[in-house]
Amino acid sequence: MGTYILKRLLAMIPTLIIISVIVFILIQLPPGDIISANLAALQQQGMEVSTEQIEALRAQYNLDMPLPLQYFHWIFNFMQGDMGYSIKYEQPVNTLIWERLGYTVIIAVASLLFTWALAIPIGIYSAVKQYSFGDYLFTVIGLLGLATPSFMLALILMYCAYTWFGISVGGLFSPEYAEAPWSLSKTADLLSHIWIPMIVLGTAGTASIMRVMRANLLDELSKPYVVTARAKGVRPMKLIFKYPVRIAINPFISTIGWLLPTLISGEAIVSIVLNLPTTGPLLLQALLSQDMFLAGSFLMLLSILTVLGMLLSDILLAVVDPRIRYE
Amino acid sequence: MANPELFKDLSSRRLTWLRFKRHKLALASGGFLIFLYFIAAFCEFFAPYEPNWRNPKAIFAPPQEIHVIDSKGDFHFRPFVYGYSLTINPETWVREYTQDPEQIHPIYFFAKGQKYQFWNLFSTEHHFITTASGQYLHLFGTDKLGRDIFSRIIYGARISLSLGLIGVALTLVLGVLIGGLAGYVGGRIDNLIQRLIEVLQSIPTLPLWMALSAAVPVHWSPLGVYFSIIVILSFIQWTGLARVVRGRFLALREEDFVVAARLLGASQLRIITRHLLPSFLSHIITTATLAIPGMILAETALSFLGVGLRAPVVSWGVLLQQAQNFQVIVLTPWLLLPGIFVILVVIAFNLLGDGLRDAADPYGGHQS
Amino acid sequence: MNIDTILSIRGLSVMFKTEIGEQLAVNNVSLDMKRSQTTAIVGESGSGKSVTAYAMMRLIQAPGKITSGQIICTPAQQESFDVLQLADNSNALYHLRGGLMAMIFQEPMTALSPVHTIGNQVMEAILTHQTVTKAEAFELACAMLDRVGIADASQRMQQYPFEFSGGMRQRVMIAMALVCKPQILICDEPTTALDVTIQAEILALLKELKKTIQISLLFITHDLAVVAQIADEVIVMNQGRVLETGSVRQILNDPIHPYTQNLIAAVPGMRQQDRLRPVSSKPDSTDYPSYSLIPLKGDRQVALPVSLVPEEYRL
Repeated sequence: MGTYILKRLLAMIPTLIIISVIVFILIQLPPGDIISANLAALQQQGMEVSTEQIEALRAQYNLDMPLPLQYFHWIFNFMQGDMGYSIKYEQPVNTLIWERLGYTVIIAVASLLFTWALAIPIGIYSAVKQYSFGDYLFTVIGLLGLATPSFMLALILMYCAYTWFGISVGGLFSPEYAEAPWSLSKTADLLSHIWIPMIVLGTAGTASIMRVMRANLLDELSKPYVVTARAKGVRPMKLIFKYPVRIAINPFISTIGWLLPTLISGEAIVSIVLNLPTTGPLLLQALLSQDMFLAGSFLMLLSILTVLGMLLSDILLAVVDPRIRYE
Repeated sequence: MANPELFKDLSSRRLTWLRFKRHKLALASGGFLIFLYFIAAFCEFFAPYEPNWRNPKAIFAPPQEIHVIDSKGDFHFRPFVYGYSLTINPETWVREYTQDPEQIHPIYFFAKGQKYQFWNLFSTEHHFITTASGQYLHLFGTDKLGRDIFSRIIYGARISLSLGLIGVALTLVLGVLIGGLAGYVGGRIDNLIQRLIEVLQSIPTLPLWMALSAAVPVHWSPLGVYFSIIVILSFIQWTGLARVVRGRFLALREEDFVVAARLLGASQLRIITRHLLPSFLSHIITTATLAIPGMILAETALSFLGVGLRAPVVSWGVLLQQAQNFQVIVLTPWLLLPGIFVILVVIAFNLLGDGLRDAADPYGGHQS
Repeated sequence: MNIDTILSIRGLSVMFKTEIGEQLAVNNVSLDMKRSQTTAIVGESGSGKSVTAYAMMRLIQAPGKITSGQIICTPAQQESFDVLQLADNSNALYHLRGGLMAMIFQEPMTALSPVHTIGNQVMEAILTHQTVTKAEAFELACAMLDRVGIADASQRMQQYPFEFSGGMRQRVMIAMALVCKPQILICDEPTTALDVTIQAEILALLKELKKTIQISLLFITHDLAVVAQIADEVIVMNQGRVLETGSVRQILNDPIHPYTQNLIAAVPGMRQQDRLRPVSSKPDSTDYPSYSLIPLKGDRQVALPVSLVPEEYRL
């Protein structure tokens, strides 16, 4: 087991290096750079900027170095926890990013749990009662969930919450708690807000996982070992949960790997609609204003999160499925 | 008893078609999609107005209903809509349009309306539906500039639907080439490609798309932006397809019938064209069909956020940009109508894809 | 009914709903299993032999359905009862499965759950049917594994099926089946997936076990060589029907039904000079019309009209 984890950890390193190169290229991709973007703004305000000043600024941001050197500079600082300076917010990226990243993780994990809590029982039900009315109903709902763009779902839920409960559900906190220090009531306030992004994000995932669970379970139910267990006299409920569900669930552990990137992706757009203080809106702002250090750091951190999620799912998979450990 | 005669002289293609025909939902979805694509291809003709034409008499006007019996109870052979009458709500100062039974605007089919260039080939005035000049027809209402939503959805269909097709075609080319290379050559190159796919898949898609499309220069022409968005979407999507292709390739290479063909001395070309490709094609077609809705949803999301297609281009995502907050649902819910079309198209593609998969591969029916 | 009959099937029919209509997989089958004997059902694929066995344990699932018949079971020192009359989910049915009858399967590779240890799976059989503690169940399981020839049983209990060879897994299956001391053991082609030397070992093990514990074996196979080695009584099935029954010597040395004769002629011999004769794999119903079984001399039966049965066999 130990060697397995070690091997997986080592395999992460090249992945992360390539990702960092891609992200760096992305930072460099937009025409012009932050300086020229800022320069234009300064000149609009009627300020004269001399060539020396420009050169000084460029040197300050290492923009006068050749690109490979800039990359090493950037990645070296990044590894030391220095992610650069956001021109737009006039703050170090570090101070902007961590709290938002935390909320992103909270929302992603909450949605993941919601997805599983809903999708797995429904998937089991649909497989065991194949072609029943309930099976069809869930299939239809799932299809709708899969097809509805998440931002539309968010809008509709916001509307429902507004008309039925009379609450405005934008944001993660009520105004009185937004700046308040952490307390029990602030946590409660968070919980009363988090359910909308959780449902919105979870719905698309639920739809697909439900179908995967149903298909997996149907496959497993026809396996010979299930007949063996039936022939042993194991009762139906115990049989379904001990054998096929146990095996059909394995792929789900590996879904953490790909569900996390989709959740983080989806979180970006839902947060923008719902106005949540997470990475999504900030990333969009950073991209729109070409604040590429901020955007790059976000992308890099989100990718690291995803890679960690995949690592986690591989380890869990090895724990539950003995065959993998021995490979 | 089984009747072997039933299956005797049918080619596999014909068998697939027979199985597909049994999926009534998939069949209906296919018909619906063909219908939409047809309308999108001839959108100038089907839309009553140009997408950017403004009706100053109708700003944020609600959809009109089609009537055949007027307020006096008289039957009209020609269907008609009521014109709007505008009132300003004295409390909220909001414009409110009501449909005025005094103003009857008959609908004319194949009649002359606004002049337009058909496919940039010739100019004509004939529209599928239109009204007499001076009257107006807003079946899905209008937006903040008085533009006709119905026409804009039809024009948007051309962009959104074609983007899905072209995007998947590009994905297909990339995925089949790269995945096929990995599966065929194997070894080092396979390993390298596998790694690359893993890396690309571990960057969260939407942020990556956002970053890439933010890099598209603002001054590019609408067509340039359109194609760069397609390239950006395909840039990620191909990885999934490449994996499928590679996996199938590896599995098929070891299949007994392929080994048998090789042992019988069939040439490489014959093996690929006669044995590998046919058993492959169905998989690729289904995977591609199921990838189209992903493309359309992605475009919608990007345009909604303002980093995808940009006005004056009209796509469903661009149209939904006007529905950024939930006041829209309260005050002007018809602005969400493009979203309904997105949902319908995505569902239709999913059902069609499921039907194709079951038809092509009756035994692997329930792997998703 | 003969006291020596542990299981007696009368008029069993099993229907499968398929895409091309309803198919009778088992068509009005009647057969008897003698107590403490080995009965073999012989037939090619699709003859309905496995479906018959599954029906005995009520393991037929949709799209299959038992449409008619009786399966009278008479366990030692117990009243006889009809298996088909047991209520779904009744305790008696769950006792029947695993407690009274047990089954081992063709594919030892897939018949064990890949993610549970051997010990877990063998002990489950015990814990399902007996009120014992886990420790006692462990001991029982160990003893049984040891009995079927698995060395280091308590060690190997911790291992997973993929750590066992095919022959060893089949031994595990046998242990799992026998651990609750069932009275009937159904072996559904237990040696088909194994290579010849392992086949011989498993057959020897089954024979040896049968000698030491009181058990009635139902052996399903298409392999006449296996039949010759293990069976006492033989039932020949084809197209969901019983064609001929009798003792192993009667059937193998002196078959009456033309299908049985073909089947035996198709066995390749060591010194055979002729080309192998194929058994027409899907005989038209015109070849073997659906005659009902008629009793003959020497406690045997054949599904032929009396006129076609040679004089010397007739009662």
